[in-house]
Amino acid sequence: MAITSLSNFRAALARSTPLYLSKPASPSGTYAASLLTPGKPVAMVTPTTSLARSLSTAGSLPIPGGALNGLRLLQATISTVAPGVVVLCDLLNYQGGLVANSVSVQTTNLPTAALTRSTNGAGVLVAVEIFASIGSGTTYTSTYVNQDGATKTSKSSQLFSTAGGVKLMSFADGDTGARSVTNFTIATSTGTAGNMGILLFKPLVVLAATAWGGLTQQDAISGGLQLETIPSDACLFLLQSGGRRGTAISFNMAEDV
Amino acid sequence: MALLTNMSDRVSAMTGGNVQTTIVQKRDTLVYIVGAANSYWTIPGLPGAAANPTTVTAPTRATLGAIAFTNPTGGRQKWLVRVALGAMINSAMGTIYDRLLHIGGLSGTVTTAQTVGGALTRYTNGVGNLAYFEIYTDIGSSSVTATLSYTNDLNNAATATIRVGGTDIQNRSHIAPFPLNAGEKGVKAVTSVTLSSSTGTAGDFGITVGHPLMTLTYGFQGFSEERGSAATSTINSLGGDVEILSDACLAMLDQSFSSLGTTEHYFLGMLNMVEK
Repeated sequence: MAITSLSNFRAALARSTPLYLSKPASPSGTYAASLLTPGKPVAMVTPTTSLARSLSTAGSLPIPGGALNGLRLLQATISTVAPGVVVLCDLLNYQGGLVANSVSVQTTNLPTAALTRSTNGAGVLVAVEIFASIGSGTTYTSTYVNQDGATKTSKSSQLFSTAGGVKLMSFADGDTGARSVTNFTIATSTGTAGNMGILLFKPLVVLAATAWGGLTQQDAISGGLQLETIPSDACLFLLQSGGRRGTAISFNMAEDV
Repeated sequence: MALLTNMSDRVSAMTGGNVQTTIVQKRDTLVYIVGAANSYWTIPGLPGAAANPTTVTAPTRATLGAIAFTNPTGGRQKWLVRVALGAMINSAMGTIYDRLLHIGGLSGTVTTAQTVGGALTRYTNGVGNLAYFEIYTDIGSSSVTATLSYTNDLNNAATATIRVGGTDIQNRSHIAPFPLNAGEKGVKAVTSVTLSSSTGTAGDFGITVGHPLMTLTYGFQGFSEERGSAATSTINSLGGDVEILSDACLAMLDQSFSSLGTTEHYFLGMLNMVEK
């Protein structure tokens, strides 16, 4: 049942359970994912084989289970030392083992495993995360299957150089998402293998953390949120900027009842 | 026309099953100067890069480069209720607008009137529409006056001028609105644009007619690629509910209030829409 009134919203907020996420520094000059950094929830294991991820994956934000009627995000309280943007995302697939010292087409741990949520790929973004420094930044292209099932080649996309940095892949014009990534080719060798991997994820809500070292509270009444639906088996993580000196967030979610 | 007659109405619309969320993401190296906005119409990302316009056309949501959304059905209307964005540039203002008409292929060295023409298919009475000078390939470095001949919302012929070239707008993706004259509420049709003299380089520029829908400001943060963030919602008294007309060609531009020079700009954001 939808939340149909302000009183319903207030009641949902009252029965909601706050979920806490706290992560330390992330690199500057890039977006960073919360996945591999220690904190709450715990760090994920650096990925190798491509695997679909879910609520049960260690390191996922532990949202309430058994929400048969679906979850809605009611409120978020964000504390970041540095302002920036925080994107709550559903991690669909995570792989690693790609290197930066070869310009050959790489298929290690590719293609990525089949999606188990958002399976048509629409709105599913692709990014590359650096797990171990690749020495310097460079560019790459990937072959991927788009939201219509067609095989496409990405535009030339950037890589960050140091561990923790995440850069998004640029789709071919007209594409709105990806079902899988087939291969990966860097433009020029950096001379350092490093280790990097591909994330397939769906952004669920973009939050603006606008206060220096303070709290930003957002909900459907202030306009900061839109009562977004959260898949009950989502593997939630944050993609964020400006959080290089630490981030703490609490989310309030409630089931539609 | 008001969508949200009270808070309960709004809450209900958010969860009523006709909610749409669209991701926008753009990245390119562009020139940022004070006083010029940058258009993301031809910049790669989500949505994909539009082709440079040639002949005058009225783009729609089906045009490559338009921000994706579905038309409302069942007699409902579509409403933009929130935009949230993280941007690399700071101290800036972003604008979501409906791109109504555009032409490209005009020359920065031609000093006779260059015809625009075409016809609007949305906001046809002109109210709220602005005409922009938009650059697709760098024009020259000589500062000249561009004079727009147009029909205003009162059905009167009018002219307006801006400076282009030189230290004014001259680079790819630069876009600047022509000011309206006293008493006018918008642009209904554009006849032509005339440069006072050659900018020195033909380049490729055009005239775009757009209808601004929502603006948001990026705060100052000071970190590369993690500078600005903003969330604007119609609920916090920022202009009321914004209707998205069927087939609207949603696009975005932003304007920095600091001179960043040539720099890579990146933004990632989300538009929230509801129907009623």
